[in-house]
Amino acid sequence: MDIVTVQNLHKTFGKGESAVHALNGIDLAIEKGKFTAIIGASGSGKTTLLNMIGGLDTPDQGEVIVDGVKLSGLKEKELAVFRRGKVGFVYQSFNLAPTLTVRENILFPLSLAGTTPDAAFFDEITGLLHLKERLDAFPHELSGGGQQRAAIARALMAKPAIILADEPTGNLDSKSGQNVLGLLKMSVETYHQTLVMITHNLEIAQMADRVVRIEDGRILA
Amino acid sequence: MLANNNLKVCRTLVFRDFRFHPVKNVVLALAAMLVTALYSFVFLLGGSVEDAFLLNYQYSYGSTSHILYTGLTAHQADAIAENANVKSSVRLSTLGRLSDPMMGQRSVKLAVTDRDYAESVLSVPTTGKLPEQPDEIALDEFTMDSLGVSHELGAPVSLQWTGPDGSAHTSDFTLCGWWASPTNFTEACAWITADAAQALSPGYDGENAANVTLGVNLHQPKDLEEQAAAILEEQGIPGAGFTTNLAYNDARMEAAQRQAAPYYAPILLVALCGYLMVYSIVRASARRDTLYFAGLKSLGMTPRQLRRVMLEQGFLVSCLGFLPGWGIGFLLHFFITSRIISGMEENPALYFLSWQPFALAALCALATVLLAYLLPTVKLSRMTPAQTVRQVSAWKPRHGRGPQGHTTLPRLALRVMGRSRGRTALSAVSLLLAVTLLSSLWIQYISLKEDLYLSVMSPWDYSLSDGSAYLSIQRYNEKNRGITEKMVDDLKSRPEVTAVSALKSHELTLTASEELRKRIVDYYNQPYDETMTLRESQAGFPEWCAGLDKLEQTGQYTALVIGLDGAYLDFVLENCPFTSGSFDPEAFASGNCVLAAGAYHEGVSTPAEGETVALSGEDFTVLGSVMHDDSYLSGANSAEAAFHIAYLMPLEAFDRLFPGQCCRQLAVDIDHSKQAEFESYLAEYRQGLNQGVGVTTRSEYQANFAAARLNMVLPKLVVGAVLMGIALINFVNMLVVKTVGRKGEFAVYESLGMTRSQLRRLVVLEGCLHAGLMMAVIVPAAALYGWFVVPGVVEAASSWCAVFTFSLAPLWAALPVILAIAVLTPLCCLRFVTKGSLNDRLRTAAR
Repeated sequence: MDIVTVQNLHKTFGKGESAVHALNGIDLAIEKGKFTAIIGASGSGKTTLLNMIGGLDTPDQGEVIVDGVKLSGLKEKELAVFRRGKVGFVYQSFNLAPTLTVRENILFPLSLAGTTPDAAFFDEITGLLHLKERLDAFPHELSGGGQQRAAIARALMAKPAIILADEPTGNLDSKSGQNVLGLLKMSVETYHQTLVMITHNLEIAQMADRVVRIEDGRILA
Repeated sequence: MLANNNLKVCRTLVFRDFRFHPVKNVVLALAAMLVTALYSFVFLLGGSVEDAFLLNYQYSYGSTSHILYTGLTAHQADAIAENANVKSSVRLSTLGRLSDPMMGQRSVKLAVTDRDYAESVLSVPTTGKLPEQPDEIALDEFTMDSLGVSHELGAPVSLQWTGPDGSAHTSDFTLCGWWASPTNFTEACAWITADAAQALSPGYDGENAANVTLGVNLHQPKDLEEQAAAILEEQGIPGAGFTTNLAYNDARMEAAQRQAAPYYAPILLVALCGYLMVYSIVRASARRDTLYFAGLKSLGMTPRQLRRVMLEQGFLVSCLGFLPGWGIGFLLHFFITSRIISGMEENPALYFLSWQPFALAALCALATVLLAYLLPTVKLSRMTPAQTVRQVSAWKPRHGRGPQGHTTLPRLALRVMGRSRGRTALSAVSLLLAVTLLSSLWIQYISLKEDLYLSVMSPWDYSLSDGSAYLSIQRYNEKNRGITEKMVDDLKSRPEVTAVSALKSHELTLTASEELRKRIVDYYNQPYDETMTLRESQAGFPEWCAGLDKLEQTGQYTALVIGLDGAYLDFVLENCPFTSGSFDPEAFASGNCVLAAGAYHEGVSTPAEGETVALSGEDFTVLGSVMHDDSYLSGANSAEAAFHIAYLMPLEAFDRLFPGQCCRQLAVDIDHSKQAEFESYLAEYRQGLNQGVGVTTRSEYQANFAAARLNMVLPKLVVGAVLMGIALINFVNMLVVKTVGRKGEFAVYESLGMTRSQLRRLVVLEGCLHAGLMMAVIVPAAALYGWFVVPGVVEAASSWCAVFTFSLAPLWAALPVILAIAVLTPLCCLRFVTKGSLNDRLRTAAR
């Protein structure tokens, strides 16, 4: 069963001679519960595609359907609610709110929704990701690996339909990167979630159930 | 989907933002404080000016009561006082009115002392006390001076007064107190005791005596005329007379609002400046905030939640600014309003203080701050997170190289000018606004010329008038001995005095020859315009008409003999055109000739050149006749002299005709370098007098001029000064952001071998270029505005003492400040930006 369907997706940045066609008619289906890796050179359109799937950006043409929700035509408020409930993001630069503690960051999407968190699930996740001791610390008080683990916990906390990770190990040293990746994969498997990850690292890509290669805004394989 | 919007989390984010970014938020709170202060000041000033106009109307009315009912019996007064609409009342029992001819046009009631009523008509003695004994009386200074009563407690007072039945009386009292009452002309009272009243007019307080005046204050002082009539109707007293307080009259209130409107005008500037200031501070951290909010949006923050966070931030910084802002606004009000509203014994800043301006200021400050937050909020909430991030990194450098591909420091500095164009433009616009406004105000200020004002308002430096002739509604009392020969000699002997000119006057009844009578009657029967004769044009002045009728019927008329010399004679010769003859100084000085002065209209309305007039038994030859501009005369003449012919002669001749008469007025000129000494002497000299002498000083005119000139620019000047402050803060802010935001860039330069010295030269060059850019914008614009637009502003002010004078002093004063800021700010920032190891800075910049 496909959780993500992308049809004839186009996105162009800039105008005239300086126009860059970031996505050039992409068609893609992502199966539920699988780990999909997206690889490609810099500027090939990986992040743009991920942004479209996550509702962070709008396409010029084409359709994105995530867990039965058609993203085209959604207003910004509806997109925000979609992101909050359906998608968990893990970024290369962590994107933790610097003014919130680790606990608050993890619960932030639920706080925005006004939803009471599942305390047992919270304990489980923070335990799994070795964050229990640092829940009251602010992001800048954690190591890079710690911050990324907090970002993963935040992505998992709302039990989203899909987790989108944009080079989650890109800012970490190799050891921390391995740890984080292991934890991410384990979490996704534990909770039967779909993971779409952008990576430059072919070793990581080989761990995926499926590898999608993008070049000049088109899918090659 | 989780569609719920939790807004509590927004507050957490706001408070955390305050904790993590205290400097930005403190600066924003200071900006909110400044905006609140300015709003408070403008509202307090405008409100005070409006209230001052209303108080002035109240003074004109003469009472603080909302309604004055007159001619009531005690029973009727009781009934009105008990009406449900009446909040409080004061009452007065009147015996009659002072009828001494010397009272002129003033109407003063002879009344039984009532302290409450006296307070309501501002007539409580400031020297001495209200009467307690039957022979005591308390008067206002104008009445005393008109009657020639000495300014001494215990001085004898002889009063002519008329009862309500028209009966004339003369009564003697002893003065027990007096007050200045400079403003109360309509409800003036002479206070005596109830015992004295009973003795003078037995049964004056009888049941049917309709001599009670009731001052009434209402619960709702609106539609006073209607309420006053309704109260009479309800109490069954139709037809009773009443007047209503002008200060509560709708038309007067509208007039007060209209007159105070210019003082509220700076609100628009405060709104604009406040908006620019807060907006520029909010924008200073725009990049960081935008990325932060893009991150939050990617996690599912809705536009509504984002708006809530930003507007709550705005609300919080506004609230922090309220209290200190109110304090500063009050201090500005305290020190400035009292300079604008003059003539009050109490400090107007405190007298007119109320809470409403503070509340309004808080509301306006909140609106201004929220408005400044609104634009970024709306922009952020409309964009997707990816668009937001793209927008932040939208700036791309333009392509351009040196001749051989080398980049020099000046070229590098020039490149920086292209960055943050919006912020640079904002700085330039706010500086331009501030400099233009200040230059315009300065030009308006220096275009008002004191010498022009003084030459018109005061042809001589000091005017001293007999106490009975200080006001134009007072009748000059020829028997007064306020300005004596000794005083004239004392003044002349002062080293500061360069000239003392004296003027005396005396009224006589003369009989015109048949020829003169016919000439004058024919003169006034000539057409004034197509619709009426000269005589008909004076129909509004019955006493004047009665005088002309009397001349026509009997040949009798009032002659006003004026003895004058020095500045007064010069004034007449300069301002009164001859209708026959001419001035011969020698003949005039001989004491046998007079100038005949008549109507200020073409033609001879008096005896003409060569004719003879007999004054007090002595014949005088008429040297010439003039159109009489009598504006140099202080006070008024008798009612009979409303129609008169004036005969002007030298003082010596006047003294020969009317020996022993004192002066009506003096004109004193001094050496202006000794003004302070002379005024000090004059103040001391006046205190030693026991007779009223009205003095108008040169310094009063100067003070009036200075106050009027200051009034014209002060409210805008305060706003202009603050706008300048804001503009400079904007400029500093822009430079700081441009320098601090390039921490990584500087680290890269250094890693490539740029020395600290080269780095300093680079930022100094950048500063100079920024200063040059600002100057290039503001100098021509401010100069063109000052040269081409401000003359129109000066002319539109329609001031007769304004002569356009071009100056750009505020601009020249601002330029060095701009240059200093432009050079020093980046240098100071550079010290912080280059702190730490190069490696650390490069790593931080890479994040």
